[in-house]
Amino acid sequence: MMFRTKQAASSASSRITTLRVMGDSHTTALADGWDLMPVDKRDPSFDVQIRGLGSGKHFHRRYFEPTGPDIRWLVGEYVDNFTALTGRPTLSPEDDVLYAMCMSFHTAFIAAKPTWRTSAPWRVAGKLGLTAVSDAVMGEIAREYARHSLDLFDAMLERNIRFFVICSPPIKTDWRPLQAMSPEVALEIDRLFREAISQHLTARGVQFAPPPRATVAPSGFLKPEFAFAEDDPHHANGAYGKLMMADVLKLAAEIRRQQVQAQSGE
Amino acid sequence: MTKGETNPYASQPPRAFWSRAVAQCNPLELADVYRPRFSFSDDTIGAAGSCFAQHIGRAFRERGFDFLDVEPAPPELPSGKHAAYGYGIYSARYGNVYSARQLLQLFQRAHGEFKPKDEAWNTGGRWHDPFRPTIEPDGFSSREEMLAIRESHLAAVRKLFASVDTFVFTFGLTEGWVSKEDGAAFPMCPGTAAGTFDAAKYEFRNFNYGEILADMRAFMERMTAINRSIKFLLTVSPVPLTATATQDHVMVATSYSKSTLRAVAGDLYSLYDSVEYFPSYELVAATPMKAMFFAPNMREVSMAGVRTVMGHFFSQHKAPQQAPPVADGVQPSPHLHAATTASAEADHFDVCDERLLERWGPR
Repeated sequence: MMFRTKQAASSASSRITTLRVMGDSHTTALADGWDLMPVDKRDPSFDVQIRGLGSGKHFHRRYFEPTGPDIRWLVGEYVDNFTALTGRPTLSPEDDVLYAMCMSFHTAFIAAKPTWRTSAPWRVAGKLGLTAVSDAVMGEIAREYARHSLDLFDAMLERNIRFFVICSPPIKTDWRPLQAMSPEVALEIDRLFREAISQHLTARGVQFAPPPRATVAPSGFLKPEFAFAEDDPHHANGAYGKLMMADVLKLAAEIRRQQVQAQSGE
Repeated sequence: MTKGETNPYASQPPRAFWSRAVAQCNPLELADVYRPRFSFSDDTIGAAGSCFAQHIGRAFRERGFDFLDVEPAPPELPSGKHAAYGYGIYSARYGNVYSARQLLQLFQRAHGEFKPKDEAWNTGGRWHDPFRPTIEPDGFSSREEMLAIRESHLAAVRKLFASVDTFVFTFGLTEGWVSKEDGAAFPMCPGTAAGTFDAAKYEFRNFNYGEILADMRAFMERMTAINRSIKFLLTVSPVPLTATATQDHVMVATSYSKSTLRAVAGDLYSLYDSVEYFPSYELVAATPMKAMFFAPNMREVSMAGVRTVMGHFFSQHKAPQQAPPVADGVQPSPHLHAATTASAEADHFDVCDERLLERWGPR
């Protein structure tokens, strides 16, 4: 399978004017953040459209199907939400549209597994008396866990659907699985997971927006002021979304600049 | 003795006579080949050894025996990747343990008795454990990672050795490579799977009968010291050498290797009541078997062969959840499990570092 090394190297010559943000439940914080962003801080050259596809729980099975030049959703709520966002049920190449996919970086399900009561990434396993797991094995686990979303990205690349990826927020300190595991283990799993997915995307020329630095505590956890609510397992709030959307707009503008540059060089 | 008088052969059972036990039998219907010294049905079992040993471990698991795996794969790792990372093959992630010297040193390294000078090998920027060079398919990213994973591994080995009731070891090779500096025995010649070959640092050894017997006795004494009631089940791999480092023809070298290992296993069985010998070697490689269980390359053993071998074993050892075996002297037919060709290679899973030697020969 061949992938383009740069998204901006699309054969299309139209300028990107629409930014569609979609993905799992973390998309809600982005929508809230967009609402909080003053109009004068928004990039008027983008028509920004934001809507979640639905729950990330469906990402653990095949939730889409490539059909010719299009990608068809196999989950009802994804069909409904995508139709509401775009006016049509299938994901297709559009020259003036850039997708920002908020998915594939969420580590909660994997970090909550009982495996990490007896095993841990090697950097933290020894001092905790746990069985050490190598970085390569952690990478395999991450790619397997995100497999369907990574497959979706490959399908989008093959169809010249322009996109980049938005990372999910850092882990919260009151995240429930932390009651049964060391915070060091959770943070290291999260770090290695993000690293593996980042490397996978980078190898394909897919760009991504990491969590804004200002939202990450020195410990590596999400700063409390950016957490959605105390009883929420892992979501960030509108304040986080506002900062992330600022970064998303910057990355979208950069991708458009790369696109224009590539087209002018054609 | 004159005619009419008795002699020791007169009271021997049919299984003692080639004509009745072999010549008049279909090789797939050989019976009473193995008579166990003790039962393993209620034991916690651990295994190590050459490539063939992984079939034994898998067979124990499939039959519901309490087969110990002290380094299981994280369940989140796709099952198709387990073998590539050395998970689920033996009772710990030690990879292929081909020689008795390796086995002894595994114990010594795990218990701090021996700290080899060859701590880590760097090959192309990736780090490898000299004592299990393929355990991480692309090597480790750093020396620190390799050492941390090995420390965790050796802790698991200590746990394994202290807790098994029966330890299964499959002898594989007499040939091996050692450090000239401290005698550390490697599973693979440096410079093949990993590392760099340096004739000033490493030398070839073809361990002889006396050395192998001494190594095994030293290993078993150490094991018994930490695990007083432990039993040993010894087998010899029927898989011929991929390549020899001697000047002999590889077939001649294989004959030396296997016959030496077989002799050691037999003598350990005679010397120690805690030792069992299971004739997996004979059930595949002996002449009555007509090489039917070897793949066309006459080296690899087909799954049909593995099933036949294990059929003989399990006809004598009931699995914990199974019904008792049939009455004494009546053998279930192992051939019921056996296909007669090597066509079952599709489900052949065999992680065998030694096979890597194939790439070094002249084309």
